[in-house]
Amino acid sequence: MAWANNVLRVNLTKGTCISEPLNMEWAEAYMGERGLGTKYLWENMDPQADPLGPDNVLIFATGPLTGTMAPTSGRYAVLCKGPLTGAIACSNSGGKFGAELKFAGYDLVLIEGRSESPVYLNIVDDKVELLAATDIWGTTVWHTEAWIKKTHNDPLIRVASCGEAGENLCRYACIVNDLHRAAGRSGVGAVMGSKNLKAISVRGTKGVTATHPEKFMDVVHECHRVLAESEGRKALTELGTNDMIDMMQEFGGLPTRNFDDVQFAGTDKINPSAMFEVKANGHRNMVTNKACFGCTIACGRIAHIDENHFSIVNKPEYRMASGGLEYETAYAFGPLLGVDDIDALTYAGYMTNEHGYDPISFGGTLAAAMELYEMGVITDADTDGVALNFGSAEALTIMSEKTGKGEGFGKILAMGSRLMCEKYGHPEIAMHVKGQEFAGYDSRVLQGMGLGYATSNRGACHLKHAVFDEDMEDISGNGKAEPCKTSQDHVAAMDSTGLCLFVEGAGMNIGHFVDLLSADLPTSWSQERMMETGERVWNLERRFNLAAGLTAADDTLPKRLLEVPAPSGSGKGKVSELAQMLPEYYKARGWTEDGRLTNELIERLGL
Amino acid sequence: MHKSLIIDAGKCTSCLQCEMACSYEHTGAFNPSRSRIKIIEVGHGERSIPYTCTQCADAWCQKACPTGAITVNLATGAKVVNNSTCVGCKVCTIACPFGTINFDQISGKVVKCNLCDGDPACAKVCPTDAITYGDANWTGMDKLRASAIKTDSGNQATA
Amino acid sequence: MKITLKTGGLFARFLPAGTSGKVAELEVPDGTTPLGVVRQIGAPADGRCLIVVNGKAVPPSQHDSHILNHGDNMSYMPPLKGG
Repeated sequence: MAWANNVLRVNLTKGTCISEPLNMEWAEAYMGERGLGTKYLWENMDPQADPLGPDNVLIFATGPLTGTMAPTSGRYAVLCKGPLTGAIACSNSGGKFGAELKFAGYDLVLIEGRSESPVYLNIVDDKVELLAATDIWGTTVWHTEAWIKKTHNDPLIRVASCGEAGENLCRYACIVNDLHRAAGRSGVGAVMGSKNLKAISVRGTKGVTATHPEKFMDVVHECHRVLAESEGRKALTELGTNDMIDMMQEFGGLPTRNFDDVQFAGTDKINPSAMFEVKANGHRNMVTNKACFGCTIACGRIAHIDENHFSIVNKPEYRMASGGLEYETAYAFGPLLGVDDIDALTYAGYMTNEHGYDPISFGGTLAAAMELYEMGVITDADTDGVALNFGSAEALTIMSEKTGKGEGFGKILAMGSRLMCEKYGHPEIAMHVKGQEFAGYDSRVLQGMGLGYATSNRGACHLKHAVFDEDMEDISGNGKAEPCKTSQDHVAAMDSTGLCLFVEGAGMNIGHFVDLLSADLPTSWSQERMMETGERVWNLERRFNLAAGLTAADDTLPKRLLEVPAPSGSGKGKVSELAQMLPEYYKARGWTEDGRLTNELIERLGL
Repeated sequence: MHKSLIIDAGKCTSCLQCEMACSYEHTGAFNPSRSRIKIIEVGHGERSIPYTCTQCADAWCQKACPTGAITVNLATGAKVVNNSTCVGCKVCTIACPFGTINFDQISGKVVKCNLCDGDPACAKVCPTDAITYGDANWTGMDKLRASAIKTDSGNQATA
Repeated sequence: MKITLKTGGLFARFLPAGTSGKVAELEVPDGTTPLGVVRQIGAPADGRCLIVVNGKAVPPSQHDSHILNHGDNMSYMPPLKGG
């Protein structure tokens, strides 16, 4: 069966690495990846622990479909208490690392304590050891991966590491695997850095076997067929996720210049057409598309920067092709900052991958800094002499490097928008929920998205719910609560399988998941069981947050979205109707009026 | 008429479906570490190259094998390893200039692509047609056709 | 009457032959609807999509009832989704 039945418990304080059997009762109830990781986190740590202290627990979790031939089966999740939010953090990633961890025979790796000196965890099937990371501490994600492969003389090793951003405790540092895929959000990389754990390297040779292999292959082939024929899949393959920038621009929901506007004049310079455009000097941004493990979509972009661009004149090492623009990166470095220079955006993208930090939160924080700069609250004296005006490509490229390396004003930007704006006495400028910055969808126009942001357990996030149909139909708070709740449960279940959410926009549906799981696992799955599992996961995350000290007061949006109307687009004149939606949402959840779980609910879900 | 695997690296996205299909076909598990076809990634992924045995007509591995364990499947043209005679000496892995025959620690034998007896699992599952299975005499046909169309000068005026 | 049609995603391939780029001026019947235009160009009209007329999104439930006027700017794009 496609659980590996094995959990690796690493105690960095004691220097021990011990395998223990997977708790099958929990696996049946929480499935895997996000869900099972949440359960293990809940059972293994005090939610009130300091996120950057030794008592935080860091979990790498694969799902029961991870490493199988099901499309997009490369995913794993990283869970811990997030230093950006003080809430539960759950960031998942693609690439090839997650599948390799499964092939080595682990459902979860659970990391406790803090090492006295920098180490990396090297896993080769059953052989697990903590090795000195002295030679790679202080170096980049890219250098770390190359060094580990060379040191072990094995190019097939897969590596997940934190860059200097994680070591420097940047609040939104991420964990990067396979050079440019990342468990990106909520600062999971800073937790890794705080534990003096530089990297996990893994080689797995055990493989994964479905419980009913022939039945499983039939479903796999059906999934392949559906994806091959889907219009949504074709668009993702050819244009990548950045296709979304044109839709959001047209709809009028594209946050621009720190949410001053919802449309941006420069999208034509940074959209997929711009990535494919051949310039007069023969340069084209887009090189090729690239897949994560097992993925027949391949939405990933490999791009390169124009060699004449100012950013790399003195940086020849960035003249190679590497991970290119995806929608959220394009949004957070483009419209949100008012920058329309595709090479500057690509350059900053390289920086986030190489040094290991989240482009969404970085963009959100830099946007707030630009607003503070234009208000005169901060000046050149604060910003190392860099003019932080909206629209400045130079400000983006310089600050991306400073933030990655933890230099100068980059140390301030590494605090995230909430702490930075509090420091300068203007908390209202920070655009965040629970400390985490927004993805590229404006809550005044996409009202259900706004409710999802406000109630997401990891702070502002676009990936924990999907109410786009309802938001396209009606730009108001009416009727958004129930669909938001249902889609949150739905996504929590999907995230617990080990597959990528994007398969749904690319033609697959929950029925395919049910069929895959039922062929993969020893017990039978249904839509109802999946949805109940999702609800269980969501409520356990909520329970973690309540125990950590968060309250209903944290389920809110910044004033700018609640009080300042959208200036243009389909939602012109609208503000977020969160006040109407939130009580309806609590009711749909079966929570109390102040957003707490009832004993009845805890009983029903078996929390 | 034999067929060959025809590989177009320009179409490969490095999804590794081929490696999983290969390992499933030969071991019953999804296990890229035991795949006989490997995807080689260049740089940060600017190229992904599917690579496996091309079934040499005059095969180094076959000539080097001291026990005669490598023979030709006359139906497919594949050079196949006979597990009952292979002793796992690995001399063939030294002889092969391409690195496409390798030792498998679990079976104690060498393994290489055997074209799945004429129905290669990798080609069947490749989503981008980076790996196809076609006429062994015309493995260049796609390139030939594309080049012909590209260089065509159109209808010529006649006197 | 004439409208201007802008496409997103991969839909530019449905614009009239000879169109360069993603925008074309189209002759459409008086009183047609956004879905009427989509059907006219032979594009997929069954799935959800994003339709914006003169800068405002038309709710999907009105895609086949909203009446277009001469000179309207219509955008026809794939549905909104996460990315």
